[in-house]
Amino acid sequence: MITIKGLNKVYSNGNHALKDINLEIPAGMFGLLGPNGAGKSTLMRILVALLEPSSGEVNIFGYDLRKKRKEIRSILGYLPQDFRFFAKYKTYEFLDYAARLSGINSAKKRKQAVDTMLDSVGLFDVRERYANKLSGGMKRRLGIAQALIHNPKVIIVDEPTSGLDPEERIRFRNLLSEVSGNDVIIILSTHIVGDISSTCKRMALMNNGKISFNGSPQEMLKHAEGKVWRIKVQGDELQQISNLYPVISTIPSGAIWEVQVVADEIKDYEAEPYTPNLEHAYVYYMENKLNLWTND
Amino acid sequence: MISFIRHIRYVSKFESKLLLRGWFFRIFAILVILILVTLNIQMLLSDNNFWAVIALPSNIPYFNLLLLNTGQAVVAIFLASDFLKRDKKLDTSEVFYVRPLSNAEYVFGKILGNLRVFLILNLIAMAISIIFTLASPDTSVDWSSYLVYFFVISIPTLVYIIGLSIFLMLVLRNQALTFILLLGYIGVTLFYVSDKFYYLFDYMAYYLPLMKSTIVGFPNWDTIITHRAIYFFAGLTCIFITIPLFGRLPNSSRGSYPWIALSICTLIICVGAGYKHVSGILWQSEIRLAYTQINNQYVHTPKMLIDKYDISVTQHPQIFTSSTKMTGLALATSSVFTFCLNPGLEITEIKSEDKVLIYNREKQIILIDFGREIAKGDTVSLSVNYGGRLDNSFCYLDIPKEELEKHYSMFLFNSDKQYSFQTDNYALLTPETYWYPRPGTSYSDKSPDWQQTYFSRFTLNVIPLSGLIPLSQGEGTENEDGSYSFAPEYPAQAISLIIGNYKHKSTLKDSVLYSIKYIDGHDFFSAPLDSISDTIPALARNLKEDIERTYKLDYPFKRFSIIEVPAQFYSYPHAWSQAQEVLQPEMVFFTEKGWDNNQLCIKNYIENYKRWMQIGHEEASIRLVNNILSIFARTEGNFNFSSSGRGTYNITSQANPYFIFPQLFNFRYNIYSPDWAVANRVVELYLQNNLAGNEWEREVNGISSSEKASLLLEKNTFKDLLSDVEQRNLMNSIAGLKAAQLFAPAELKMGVGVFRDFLYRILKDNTFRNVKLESILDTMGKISETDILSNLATWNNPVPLPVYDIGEPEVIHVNDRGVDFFVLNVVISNNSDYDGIVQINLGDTRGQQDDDLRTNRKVLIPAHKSKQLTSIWDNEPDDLTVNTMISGNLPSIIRLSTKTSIKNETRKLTEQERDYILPENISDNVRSDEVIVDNEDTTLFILSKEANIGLLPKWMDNTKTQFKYSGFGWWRPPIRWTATTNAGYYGKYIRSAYVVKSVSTRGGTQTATWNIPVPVPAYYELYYHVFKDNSVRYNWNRNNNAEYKFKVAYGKDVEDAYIRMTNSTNDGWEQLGVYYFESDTVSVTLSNECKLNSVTADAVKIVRRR
Repeated sequence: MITIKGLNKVYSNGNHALKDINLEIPAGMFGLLGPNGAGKSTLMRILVALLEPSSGEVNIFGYDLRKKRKEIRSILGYLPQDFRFFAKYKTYEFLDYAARLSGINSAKKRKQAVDTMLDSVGLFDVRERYANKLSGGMKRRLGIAQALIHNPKVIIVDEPTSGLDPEERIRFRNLLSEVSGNDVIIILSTHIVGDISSTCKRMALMNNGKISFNGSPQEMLKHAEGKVWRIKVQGDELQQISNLYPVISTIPSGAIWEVQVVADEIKDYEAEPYTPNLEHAYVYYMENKLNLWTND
Repeated sequence: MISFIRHIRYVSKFESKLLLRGWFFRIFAILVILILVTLNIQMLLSDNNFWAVIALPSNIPYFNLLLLNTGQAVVAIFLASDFLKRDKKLDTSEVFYVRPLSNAEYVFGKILGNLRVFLILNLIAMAISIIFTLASPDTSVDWSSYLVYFFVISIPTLVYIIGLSIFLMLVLRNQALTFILLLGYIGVTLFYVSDKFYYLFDYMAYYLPLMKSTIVGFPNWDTIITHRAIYFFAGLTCIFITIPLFGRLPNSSRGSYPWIALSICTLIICVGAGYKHVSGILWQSEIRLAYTQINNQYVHTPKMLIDKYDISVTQHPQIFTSSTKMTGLALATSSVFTFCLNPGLEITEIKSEDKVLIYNREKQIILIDFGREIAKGDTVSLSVNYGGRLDNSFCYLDIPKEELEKHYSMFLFNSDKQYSFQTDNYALLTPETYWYPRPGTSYSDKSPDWQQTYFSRFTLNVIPLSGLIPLSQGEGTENEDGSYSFAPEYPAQAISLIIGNYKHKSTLKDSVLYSIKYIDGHDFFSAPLDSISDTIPALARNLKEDIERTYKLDYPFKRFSIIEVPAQFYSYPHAWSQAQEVLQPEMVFFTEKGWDNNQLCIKNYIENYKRWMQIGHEEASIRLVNNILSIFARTEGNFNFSSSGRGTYNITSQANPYFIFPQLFNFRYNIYSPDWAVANRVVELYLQNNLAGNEWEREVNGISSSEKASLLLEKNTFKDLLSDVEQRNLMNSIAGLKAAQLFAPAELKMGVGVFRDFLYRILKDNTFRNVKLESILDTMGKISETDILSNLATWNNPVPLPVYDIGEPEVIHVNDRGVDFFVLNVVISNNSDYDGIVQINLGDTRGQQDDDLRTNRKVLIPAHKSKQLTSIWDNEPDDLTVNTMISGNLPSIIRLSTKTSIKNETRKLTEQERDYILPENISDNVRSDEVIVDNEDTTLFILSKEANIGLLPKWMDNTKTQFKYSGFGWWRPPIRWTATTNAGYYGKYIRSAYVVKSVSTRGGTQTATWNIPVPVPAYYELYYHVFKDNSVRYNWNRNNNAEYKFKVAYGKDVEDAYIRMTNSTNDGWEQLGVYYFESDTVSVTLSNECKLNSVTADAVKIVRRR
């Protein structure tokens, strides 16, 4: 269990990146959703002890983050948002180095762990290749491999699927799902709603340095029920619609357009309710619930 | 702790991996290996072996590691600071930052990773040198030195520079700025600060004396350890402080505290070591000053003349004990007498006739109270028991601090300077150390009274440590109890003692026993010289006889030994004597295998001689031995070559410490003066008669040492110059000139040869006695009927310099009734207000004592008088050399050709020509129809203002020299007009010219202009005085159409004129053309546009056409 209380982070340039964050993260996959710049990465970097919070408390499996960094670091696996530029190590060396630093000291066990991990992320055949020469997807896989090599209790992955093709993305999600079976906490920070909807039991929504929502994806969906509408309009009315409501999608259907919008109610247009998905819920939450929507 | 080490190991392993995969390091490593392999082959396996590394095998790792160290100190900056930048750049670094290792483990690991690759390179470098050393048949591997140099050169340098670069990188957060700062720092410390401030800033150990002797190891071990500790701990401080500065959150909030505390500790150690290093050296200066002041205090207290010494010495590891019995004569009536003993030695008891005496000790001074008044002239006996270790800082109190602190090096090898040794298996005790009690004080800068040493009779009994052999003056005999006794058959001023594992090779030739005494295992000479082993004694004898003949002094001892001493042994010349400590009566100390003399690489040199000279093995061996032995006959030792700015060069020669003259003179005569500490040296130099100096040295410097001495003596008193540290290298020239000046009036009166013979006779009468300079001068004055003694008083004043106009010699071939004679005339005018003396020589009589007045004569030329010197010869006379001695003439020595103008006449020889006559008042033969303007003319000769020069060359060239004239190298001439002198230039008194680098720019960039006054409108021939330097004379430029370009401006006309400058051009006046000059002044301008390297501006003349 990770408990975050009253967590604040103010950068030296005055940017208040985290504002009084309170969060409890249980075992299992936990999704952290939010737009770019919401403070997700700052929160992640604080959790992995790369960044010091300005105030507040973080407790990870009973360890106070301010005092027991070593203990926390020993149960942690981390895949940063950017994971592209490597020193000149071969693929297996990179994993071997990570394994050594995580306390797998027996050469035999280490070799076994490295080989198994390479195999499970499908990099065994390229283990002799310099990590820099791997493709983007392979690099991500190597990234998750190094985060998992020592069987950590907390795995923190920051925007792991950005830039991956759909196949690699699915593979990645599956890999994480497999791991989440073993009583570990996986925090998955993303701005891609699909990553969370398919894997996370619990999630939080971050915006502007604050937690806007904390609950299960289903609870999130509930908020959006009856708030998603389908409107059929003429082409010349499109602009008007988009000025009035947050538009999720516009699909041409012959001479008319089928527009999906989120709103508490629709006036002046004939609209039919639509069954929301998490993406709709996210938009509804971001645009309406948080009153970000302006129709100026 | 285990995980701490484990993590460091892991990080370092992977960091090394990265560095080894980087091209930067790979290229550096390949270059290093290539360079070292080449140099090692060259030094150890080629035909031109490097004796310094073969003689001292420890010099091989010293050389290799020092060279590598310089390179790695630079490369380490790039690599060490790079990991921080890399960490910043690589987003993947963060996945290691989140591992449970501490910051300290990470930083240490990274640094160790860096160190590791360099250490691997060091190991490779050492392996290379070991392989080549093993392959060399001439030397062996000094295994322990590899370890020592690795730890004292490489480790501290790397730890320091890596620590410093990481620290700076963290503070500055900018790699480029860090590089620039550190490279600047390296440049400044290496090239500018170098060995200044007692090597304090020499972090690369580039100047630190690190040479190891195979006899005594490192005598300066303390200094080395302290110095290296400064940098090792400075490096650690930087590394420790890096940990809290490192931009990753520590494992625990107080994780940085121990490292801050540690960095404070190491900083304290570093500063402490620095303080110890500097204060140790400063203490030496202070204690030396204290010793001198104590000497000053007691210099006039009553002392004795010790007639007989019986010294017993027992050697112990690192120390010795001694009991010295003395029989002395009181030189004043007193109950307390002053003695001097090295302050490092402890006295246990002083006794006289079984009565224990009370004594007072103040550092080196012992005031012995005999408990009763001893009348002047009474004899007493006493014995002193003492022992301990000698304090070397007590030696050479007269030598200035700057001189003592100068580093002693050859190539990259820096040697410590030691004046005595006491180790577990070696001892070297020379008189300079005062290793036994001597009457009076040692050096005092207040009174030369201290210096009145006396001849004493010595016996010496030595009990050496087991297996060691003692050496001293006299024949050593081994007693039954294992002790050795020495009893030199002559009285000596002092005695020395050497104890070591000595072996010897000896041969008796003409009643002198010639020996080489070497440390066991150091016989590198017997095998390669085996074929001429029978001839060597004769070669030594020949050299001895040559020297005896040259100086008209005989070698007074029955033995002559060359004794090998440790490499660090060093001696300085004292102002009062040419005898340095490397010379002791009947012995010469040669530093370990003569490591700094490449000729001792005997095998190679014999082969080279055979090849170069196309001669056989035996002849080559003989030539080599003669060359090696010639070191004992040379007056000059090492030459220091320096450049005082672009194109200007300077060579200074040091006195040759091995010059054997003191064996013939100083160890048997002792001339002293209460006023002039330099008395003995003045007589020595007079007898050596070597005022001329080296011609080539003059050529390089543009002015000779003797001329410099003259110019200095014109402005300063002799005493001032004697105490001037900057003029130490000119000491022989200054004292030599004073000696020549002192004796010249007497020589004039008696003739040089006769005067010298008398002087030799007086000296011989005073063999092994002390004789006062004043009494010699008094006696010589009476014999020569000149007042030499009062001449001595003039030493207190600067000497005004006469100047001489020396005419061209004229030779008349006279046929007198069928018999051929050659009459040689030369006119010399003294155009100054001061009388002067010139020396005339015919042929090359330098260093020779020739009694023929025609070939070797001093002539007095009074002020404003001229003299014609005439001599008659049966054959064509040789060239004439006029040495103007102490004069304003430059060059002071001019060789005049007698071959160029021989007139034939058939007549009787006139009465005046019968003898060598000196008619006075011959008028100055100046031609009224010619006008000469020389470059020395300050109003009529004008140089152009300096051309535009870049800032860097200007700065490089910005030097202040003491003398107006300097030498220059034709291959790299000066960029400013630079004055230089040479007998080939024109000049009435000063034969000088200005030289500047030439350019191809049309019209040149610099000019020299002569404005010549025209007496009357008429036709004139215009001449330029040509001097071809060696580059033109031997056509080194390979340019056959170079010319000097002139512009001749008269009236309103400006005409071009040229002189072709090739090897066939004549020296001297060369015509530029014939002109009708109406105006009152003609301007001749020479530009520096020329195809030669340089252009010379000398003199221009016009000659009226009749």
